[in-house]
Amino acid sequence: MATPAAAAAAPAPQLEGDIKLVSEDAHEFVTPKNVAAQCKMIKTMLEVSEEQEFINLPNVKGKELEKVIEYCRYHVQADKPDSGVSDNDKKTWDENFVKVDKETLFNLIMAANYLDVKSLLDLTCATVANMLKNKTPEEIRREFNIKNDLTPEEEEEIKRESAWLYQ
Amino acid sequence: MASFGITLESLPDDILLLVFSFLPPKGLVNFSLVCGRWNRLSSGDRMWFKFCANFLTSKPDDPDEYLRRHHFDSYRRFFLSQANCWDLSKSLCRPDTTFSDDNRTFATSPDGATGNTVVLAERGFSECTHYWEVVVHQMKTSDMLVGITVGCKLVQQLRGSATTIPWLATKWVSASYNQTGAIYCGPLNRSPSQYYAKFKTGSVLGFRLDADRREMAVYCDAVPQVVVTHLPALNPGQLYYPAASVYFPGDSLEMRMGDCPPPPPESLSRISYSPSP
Repeated sequence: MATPAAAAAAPAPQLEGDIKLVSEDAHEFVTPKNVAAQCKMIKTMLEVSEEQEFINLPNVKGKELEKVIEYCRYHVQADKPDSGVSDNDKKTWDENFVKVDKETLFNLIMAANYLDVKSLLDLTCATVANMLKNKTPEEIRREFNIKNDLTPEEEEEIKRESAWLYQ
Repeated sequence: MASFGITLESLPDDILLLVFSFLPPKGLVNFSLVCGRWNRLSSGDRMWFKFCANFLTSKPDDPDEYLRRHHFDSYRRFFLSQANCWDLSKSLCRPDTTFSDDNRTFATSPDGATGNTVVLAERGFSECTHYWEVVVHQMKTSDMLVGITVGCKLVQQLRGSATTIPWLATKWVSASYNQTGAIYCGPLNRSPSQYYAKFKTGSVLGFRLDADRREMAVYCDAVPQVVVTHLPALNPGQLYYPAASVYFPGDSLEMRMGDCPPPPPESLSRISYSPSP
């Protein structure tokens, strides 16, 4: 019962100044704390200790970390109520942001998942869904090198159940 | 975790589930044909329940119990079996049946009257609770019926070989305007016995069909009017379809889905469609 009130009464963590983020391959990114805190995982770490000067991120490579920071930096600014950036502008920016090759996209998904940036995870996963949705199972298997291990019976069953979808 | 060499295949289950969650049913079925893992992931109840919840309009308190009650082992199967009932074939229906072109709106031609049954939706219902609304855009005279009709679903196995599937029966449960300007609820071919509130141009008629209990509550401008009980029983393959009968030149109406209201109060008048046993 008392928890929400207690949480509200606690002083807001200080998010001023910069923090150094260090990627798996030892790239360093000096980032404003309020930008880095868009990653829930980093926010939690910042809240635990205010003293630290850098955070090691052993699961993210520099290339993806840079992209994630770029995404967070843009949205910290653009999502402010008085930013003057329209939803349409943001959408266009997001669409351009994920125009990357497939491997980068998958790495970005893993980074967003690890760093816990929900909006970026949704954006990247929706992009993959869009990429795949008009392809036939055969085309998906070929493009992504996936082996079909369904038995003919299983395949038949799926097709029979869903025949109405394909008329 | 190495961040190079990640492929679609190497994404963990919960990420693939998130990707799948952005797809419509057809996309999901497509994905299930890719491989065993995708089939397993894309068939999960979590994925399909949201589609079922959308078209059931009334959400069950206990989703698992609901599934058991309807004898299905997964929401995917449940959705696909329901959806299988949706389509009416224009080529096989009775010739006096008209279909709304967009499954939503209907207007009689301005220069000629018709008395046709108009099936307002491709989707019929045989179980669960469903709610839809019909907006009366124009009604110049008393001749308009709005309600449900009973039709036969197209049985998958018969397709291609059947030429004479029994089609839309002329059984009606309607809310109809009559000379006194009232909604009349009851079978068309029986003398009016009870009258309810008026409907007119601009009215929004609501229909809350409980197919399991064979009952339908009728609303006019969100006010419950009457519950019609003992709806005609469905023969195997038959469904209740939202429908209307529009006569006067230029009259028009539009069907739309709406948020299902709670069951009407017990005190609301109830009339029986079928003669009392």
